[in-house]
Amino acid sequence: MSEKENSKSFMSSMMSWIDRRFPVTENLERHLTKHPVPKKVNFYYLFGALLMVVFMIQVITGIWLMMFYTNTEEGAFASIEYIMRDVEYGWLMRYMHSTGASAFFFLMYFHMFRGLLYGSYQKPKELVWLFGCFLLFLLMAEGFLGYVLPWGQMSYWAANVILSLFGAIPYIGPDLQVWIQGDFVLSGITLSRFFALHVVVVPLLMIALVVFHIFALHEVGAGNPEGVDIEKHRDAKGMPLDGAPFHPYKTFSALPAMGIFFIVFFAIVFFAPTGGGYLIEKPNFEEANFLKTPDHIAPVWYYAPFYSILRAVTFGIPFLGITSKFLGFIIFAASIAILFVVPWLDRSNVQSIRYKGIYSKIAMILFASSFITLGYLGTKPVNELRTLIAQICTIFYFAPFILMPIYTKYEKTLEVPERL
Amino acid sequence: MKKFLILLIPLSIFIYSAGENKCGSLEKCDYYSADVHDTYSLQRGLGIYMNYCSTCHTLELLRWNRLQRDLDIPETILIEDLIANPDIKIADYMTFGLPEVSAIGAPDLTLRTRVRGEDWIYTYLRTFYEDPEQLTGTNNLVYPGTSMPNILVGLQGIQTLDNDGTIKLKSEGSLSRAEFDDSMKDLVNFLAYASEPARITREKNGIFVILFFIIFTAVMWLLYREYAKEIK
Amino acid sequence: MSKKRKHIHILDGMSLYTRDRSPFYWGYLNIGGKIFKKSLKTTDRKEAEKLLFAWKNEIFSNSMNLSDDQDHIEDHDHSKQEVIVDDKRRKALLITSGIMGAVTVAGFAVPFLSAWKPSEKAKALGASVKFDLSKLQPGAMAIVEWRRTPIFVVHQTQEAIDNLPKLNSKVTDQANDVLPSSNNKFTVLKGVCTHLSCAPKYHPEIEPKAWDQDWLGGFFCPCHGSKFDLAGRVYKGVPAPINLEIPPHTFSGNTLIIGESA
Ligand code: HEM
Ligand code: FES
Repeated sequence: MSEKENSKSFMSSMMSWIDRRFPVTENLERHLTKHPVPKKVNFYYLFGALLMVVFMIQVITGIWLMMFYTNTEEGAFASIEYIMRDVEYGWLMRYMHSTGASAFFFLMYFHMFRGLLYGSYQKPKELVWLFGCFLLFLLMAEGFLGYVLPWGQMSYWAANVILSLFGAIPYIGPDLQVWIQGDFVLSGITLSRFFALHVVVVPLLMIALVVFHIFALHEVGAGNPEGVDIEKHRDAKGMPLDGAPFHPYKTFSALPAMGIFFIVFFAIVFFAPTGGGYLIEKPNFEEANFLKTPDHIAPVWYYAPFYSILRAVTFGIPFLGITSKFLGFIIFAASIAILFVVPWLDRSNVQSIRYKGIYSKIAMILFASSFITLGYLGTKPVNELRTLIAQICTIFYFAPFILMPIYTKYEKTLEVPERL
Repeated sequence: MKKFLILLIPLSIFIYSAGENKCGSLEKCDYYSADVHDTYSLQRGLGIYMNYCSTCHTLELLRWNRLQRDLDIPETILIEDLIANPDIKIADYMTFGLPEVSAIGAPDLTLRTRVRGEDWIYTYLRTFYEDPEQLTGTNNLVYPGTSMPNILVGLQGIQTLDNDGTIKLKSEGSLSRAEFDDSMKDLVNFLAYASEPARITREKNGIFVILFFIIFTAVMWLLYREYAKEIK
Repeated sequence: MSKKRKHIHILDGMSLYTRDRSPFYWGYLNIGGKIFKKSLKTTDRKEAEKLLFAWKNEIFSNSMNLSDDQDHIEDHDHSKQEVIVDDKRRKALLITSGIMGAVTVAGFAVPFLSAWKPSEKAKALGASVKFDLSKLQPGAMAIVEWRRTPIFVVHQTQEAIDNLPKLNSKVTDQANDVLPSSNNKFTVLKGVCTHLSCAPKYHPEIEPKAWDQDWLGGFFCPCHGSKFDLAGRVYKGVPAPINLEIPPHTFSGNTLIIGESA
């Protein structure tokens, strides 16, 4: 008994020694054990935790792939097959990494859609949302850079298409493209710098942003599907009445979610790692060939909606000297950029779609269905009808945002309850 | 919220019906999905590969000893019958010293099944027909103008193309149609194996990983319920 | 079928709402910051409104007696439905899930650790090598590369073999007075000094050397002066602690196979 007490006091004096120099306990309490979260949320609120899990999977499998990967024009493709065949469990690392990239986007899109549905970007969470948007941007860059690394036909030609976009910028475009490539064509020189960006620069930025994202969130408090402010009603200890400590309630709710995620994730990794050509495309099993374009270049599914928007712009603005290619680039960039300003477009007096008016609901449905349709079209070769549909969907993609200041201000909203 | 989930259903339908399904001049390839777990089939496929394909095509990413291990081939058979060349080590690749793309342009076959798809290869091998206009004397429905001669003609028999675009058997080969199709399945199985040797372990062990996570989820769910009821 | 959740605003601080699993309308009142909720036990909208007003009036008259404290502190209302915590069950679940977690982490670790083992390529490079002995003259030494290590293959002269027992007193490991690694004529050694991994030099000549006046042939390591005899036995009083290592090898006729033991 006394021994136990002794060791306890030793532990606690040790802790206080550390805490005086480095606030471990304080931060644990602040971000984990005592941090209040709304006690009633729905499954949408689990995607953030899963995103952290995939991020870790990507970093760890990525580090392991890096141990065997060769970042040269001659060696890259062969080194991927080396990983797949000769390295013990190399295939698992690679499939986890490639499936992880898709999972990352899948979760990211749901995570963001949650934000749009429940107004999670509204005051005072604007910065949380902004950091998130930067993360989306970085993830898109990261995926693109990583996609080039296996140096297959699709890596090469898809990268070629995207890099040519930079060439469309008036005046500086062609020089900018050459500068990014470090060569007059996409080549091994480009591959090496993309490798450095993919494994060091972008992941580092992402880690930093994830930290900002979480810190900002913990400062202003997590939201809930009702849009109820839980801070209003507190008990004697200052704990929100509708809140519960992060640990064990939130942590333990993330565990079954993680289990379900792993079931789906590993079902893909073990039984359909190429996802029928959607996760790893067939042409990417052929080494990059400068002289031969694959018959059909399609982006991976997670870029497809944006790629569709890009392709849907078949006209320019001649009197401004804007070619259709450049206008496509602008609108493509705008489709991501518009997400950044959403917090300032929404003028509604309620947060959640549950209490917003009918226009907001229609807007959300329009946005979601056009996003999915654009994604579908993006993986298909173009024809006239598809281009037309893509153009309409592009309008429906932007309209909910552009009109947001109007309809959110004037539509009739329902009263939000006081408590959860 | 269920409305939004319903929107996802079309997405899941698109996932597998991907791409334009055209198969050369055919509307669709004959469906075939390789089975790499039938070791005898893989061995038979290897036999066909060695007899008919290996004169022109290499397997530059497959090692002899890997093949031996995965296909359960006795060492003496490997060394005396399959490699049959004292200069080749068992850890070497199955290239027989051929260049990656041989003089007549035959590509390396290791990854072809992954590039083209299993159904494509399966259909391609079975749709050669007589065509005097071609250098090789034969043409193919899936890959019109292919420069590969129909080396399997002895097994399959000579096929001709009817005016309506279907294929007819002109003279019998040594195998019946069903036997020939089975052999081609063996060959595709073998090529699918060659394109990804890890597939055998991958598909075999995946199920245990998934079962584990099902149990994991169940336990974690109970744990979560246990705590969640406090804050209901 | 559960009803959709819905809020119907009546007046400020007064509303009706429906709940997921209840067929009835519920009343919601906010009176001076205090919240009241209850089921109105009716599915009729009009009726519910009436009840809500009645309820409000009732509370209003009651609340006259209550102190109107601004900093009113509310109770955790979930504590109303007393939760009985089964500590045993909880502990069992915590332990099971802890074990599950540990198994998961260990399971994840296996492939990552295995990936560091020599790959098939490394094994292929590390496979055994063959060496044709017929061209190696007596007294000559060949260096064969195996696993990126120099392997010394010495064809011993009869004189060298006869000299070996004479060195028994000078070497650490006297027992080995026969050629330890030979088919009587050939010695196969790893050309790696057992001190700090330099490559020792082959000095078969029997003549006084700077490092040894009575040199009977052997290996001398230039790095820190370790001495070995022709059979690879280490001399006493040198930095190297043990004999030169013998790689696994076998003889098949005139062919030496390094990397496979007999
Ligand atoms: C953070 C999010 C990340 C995403 C979304 C991502 C995405 C990708 C993608 C799509 C590929 C191509 C996969 C394929 O077709 O095989 C790839 C390859 C690669 N990634 Fe990442 N990655 C991420 C993080 C990392 C990190 C942190 C590292 C290293 C520290 C890393 C190292 C690699 C390497 C070495 C490859 C090339 C090998 C291969 O293609 O299999 N990645 N990545
Ligand atoms: S390394 Fe040979 S004597 Fe030190």
